[in-house]
Amino acid sequence: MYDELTQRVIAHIAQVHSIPAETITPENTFDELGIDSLGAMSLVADLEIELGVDVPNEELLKVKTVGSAADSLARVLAEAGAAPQA
Amino acid sequence: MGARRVAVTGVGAISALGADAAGFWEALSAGRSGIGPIGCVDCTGLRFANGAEVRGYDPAAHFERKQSDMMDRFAQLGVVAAREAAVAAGVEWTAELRESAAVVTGACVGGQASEEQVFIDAYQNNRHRAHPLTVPRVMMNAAASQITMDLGLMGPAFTVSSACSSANHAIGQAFWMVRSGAAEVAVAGGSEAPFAFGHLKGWDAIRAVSPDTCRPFSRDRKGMVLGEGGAMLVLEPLEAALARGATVLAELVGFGMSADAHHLTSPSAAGAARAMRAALRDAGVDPERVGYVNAHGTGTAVNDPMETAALRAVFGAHADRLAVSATKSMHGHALGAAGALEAVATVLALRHGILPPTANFTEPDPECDLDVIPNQARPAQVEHAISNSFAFGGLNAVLAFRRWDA
Repeated sequence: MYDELTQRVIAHIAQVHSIPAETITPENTFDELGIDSLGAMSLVADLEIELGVDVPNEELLKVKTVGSAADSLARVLAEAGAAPQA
Repeated sequence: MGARRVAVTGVGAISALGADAAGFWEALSAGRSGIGPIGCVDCTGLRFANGAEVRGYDPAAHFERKQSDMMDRFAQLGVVAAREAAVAAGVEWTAELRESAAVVTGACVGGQASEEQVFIDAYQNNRHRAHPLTVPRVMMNAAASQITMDLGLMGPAFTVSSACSSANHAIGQAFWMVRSGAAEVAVAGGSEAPFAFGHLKGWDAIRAVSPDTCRPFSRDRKGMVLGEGGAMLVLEPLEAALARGATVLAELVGFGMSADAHHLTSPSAAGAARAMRAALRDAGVDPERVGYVNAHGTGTAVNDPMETAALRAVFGAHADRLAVSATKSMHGHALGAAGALEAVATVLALRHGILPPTANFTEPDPECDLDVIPNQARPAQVEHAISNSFAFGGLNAVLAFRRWDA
């Protein structure tokens, strides 16, 4: 089972892009999932709002996979000294 | 340049009167108003609480989530209407035709709900980041852009913004492009979704909105009632339409524009009259051959007598033989979509031989002494009809249609 943040990213992708959650892995690139850069940016923005964090632009540019999106969010959460909200 | 005749071969409409053009027409011909309490905004603190809302609209019935996420409500209403019009027209979209297909939309206030959300987030919720889709949702051309992507249309495409005349200006530009050969087919109309509290405060302040309902041309009228919706027409050369066996709903024969150059909010009869004359001149139609006018007819104290005077100036004695109705009494004033809803109403009136009424009419006003088809639709085969739109800022646009007899 994936960590909580990764699950959250997967659940969000599944909902917005109508992709079965069980078929999405952290290794999937957004490209493979048919999500363009605007879609990826929106996904991160939705989660930023949910989690109350701010992913810097340079961090966002590195986000190419489902896992890297979760990692970026985890890093900014750690820096903010906060645990993911339930 | 040999001017071509232009046919309307498809219409689409989503409005307070229903989810499609059939529902729209059914309500119009029954004289049933779609005005009621505004549900999507808490109107506490406003002087009005009624509007003509698209009720029961569910984005998921029309769009996948990733698509609806990209669009404000106003753009969604535009795409829904464009799809309906395109399906109704039954155009066969070859690669060549797609490349010369125009899309021209009208919008007056754009993505108000999306804009309001970012302001609430920034000013009230202290969020220091806005959603990345904010700008593409808010932008005035969103409906035009989304229609090009949705239908795969790749010719001239743009949005016209001239307040309450936006859609008439848009349809007029598309008409001239098809007539001149600059486009082989066009999807044109307008869409609007103005129900956001901050925006409504602006309307409240201008004191032109009725506290109850919209009664155009009635002595006891109290103002306009805001509406929302989307309406689109498919325009194509008459010859091409006939060659492919399409149903011609009506012929679009003339378009006229003028500027009052007078006042920001108070309209001028001279300006309105110039636009009507320009449309008739463009159509090559004598005023005496017009039988029906879909009036701008907002139900404000100022517009209706002004429009009456303008109609009398243009039509002279024939004004007493004109049937004139203000369908805003039913679909509300949908701002940048208003002209498109009224163009659809006019086309369907010619097609069905039924003139929609002015609903909510109570008492004649000597200053609006026209035959305003009070409350009850009227069977009548008229040859030509015009549809008026006049805007804040004094920008006027009038479309002229001819009945098509197959």
